[in-house]
Amino acid sequence: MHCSNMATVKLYAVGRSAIAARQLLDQIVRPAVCATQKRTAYKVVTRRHFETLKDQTTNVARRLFFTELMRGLLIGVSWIFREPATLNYPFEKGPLSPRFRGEHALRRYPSGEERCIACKLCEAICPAQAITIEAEEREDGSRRTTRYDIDMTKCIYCGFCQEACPVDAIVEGPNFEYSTETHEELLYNKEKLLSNGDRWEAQIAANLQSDHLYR
Amino acid sequence: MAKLLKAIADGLVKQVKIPVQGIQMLGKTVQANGGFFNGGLTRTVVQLYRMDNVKYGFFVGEDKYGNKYWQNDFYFFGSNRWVEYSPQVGMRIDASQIPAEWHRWLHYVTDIPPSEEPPVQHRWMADHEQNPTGTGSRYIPYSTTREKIEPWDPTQSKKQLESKR
Repeated sequence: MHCSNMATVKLYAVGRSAIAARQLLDQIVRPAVCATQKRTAYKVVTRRHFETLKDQTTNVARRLFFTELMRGLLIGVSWIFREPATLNYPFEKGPLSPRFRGEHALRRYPSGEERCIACKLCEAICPAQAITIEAEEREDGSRRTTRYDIDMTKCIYCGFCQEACPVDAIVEGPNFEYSTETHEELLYNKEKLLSNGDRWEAQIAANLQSDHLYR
Repeated sequence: MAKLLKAIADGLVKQVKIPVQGIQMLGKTVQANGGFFNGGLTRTVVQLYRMDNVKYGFFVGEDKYGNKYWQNDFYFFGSNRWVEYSPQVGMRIDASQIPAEWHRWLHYVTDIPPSEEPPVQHRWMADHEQNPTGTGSRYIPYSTTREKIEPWDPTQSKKQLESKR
């Protein structure tokens, strides 16, 4: 106890001497050494607190009745009665753009003929090199793909493939709810992509139609 | 003093109005589900259990899988359209159960529901399927081309090999 008191006194003394040194610096050394502007005309522009009796009583009342605490609590309670800003997914869903780039699909012509002509532009432009194409001549002499694989785990969903495609065959559809439990389920082949197209054509066609003025 | 009282009253009215509207909605939902004494209460409780929410809305349409679509612009944008999943799926609700044509409306891409303006149909268009991952019908990748290098099979005779070529 004694020791700590001594230490306090010593620290206090150090503090006092520091203040004295500061005064010395300000009043004697600085005017002699530095050419600084001296400001003497300070004006207090903020309202002074606890000046009047009213201020003091207000402050005491605030502390005595925890008014700030209560107000904070009431704000919390008020949120119970407000409409939530969150969505109750999957019953409510957020807005999507018609240009949304989701799961890939290979489209068909209205006759049912597949659109892809194996030009390999999408394979060439793909920055992630996720697309693999092999082509062969079909029995009727037309050029078609025998292999159209997309590694969906390599894909970065940039949409370059659908922009490169001259026949609107490969598109990134609106579906984003195709998460899988295993990696291999995301290594899509041609059959899978065509069946995606058959399943989502209603929306893909409508989205392309709604955006046709900008394409 | 009168000013203060008026401010308090206004604030209270504002704070009370919204929950009162909510309670009115609850009553309307029960009425729409068949009335208080005709199973409406039970149906509302079931709806609360399935959807964690009771909402009153206007029926927009139903797809062929039994999902019902509702809208009420009283709610904030984003929650003003919602789907009540088919009773056939029970609690096995999945977001991928929504078919393509209603997906477009539910995601606010268009304001016109497919019940008003049905999409163009082609005979090759396939039925909707929910995400099959984790089930027996899940997609397993396979090669769509013939193998380029075939290993030698010593059990095959020379004739068989030649016929294969």
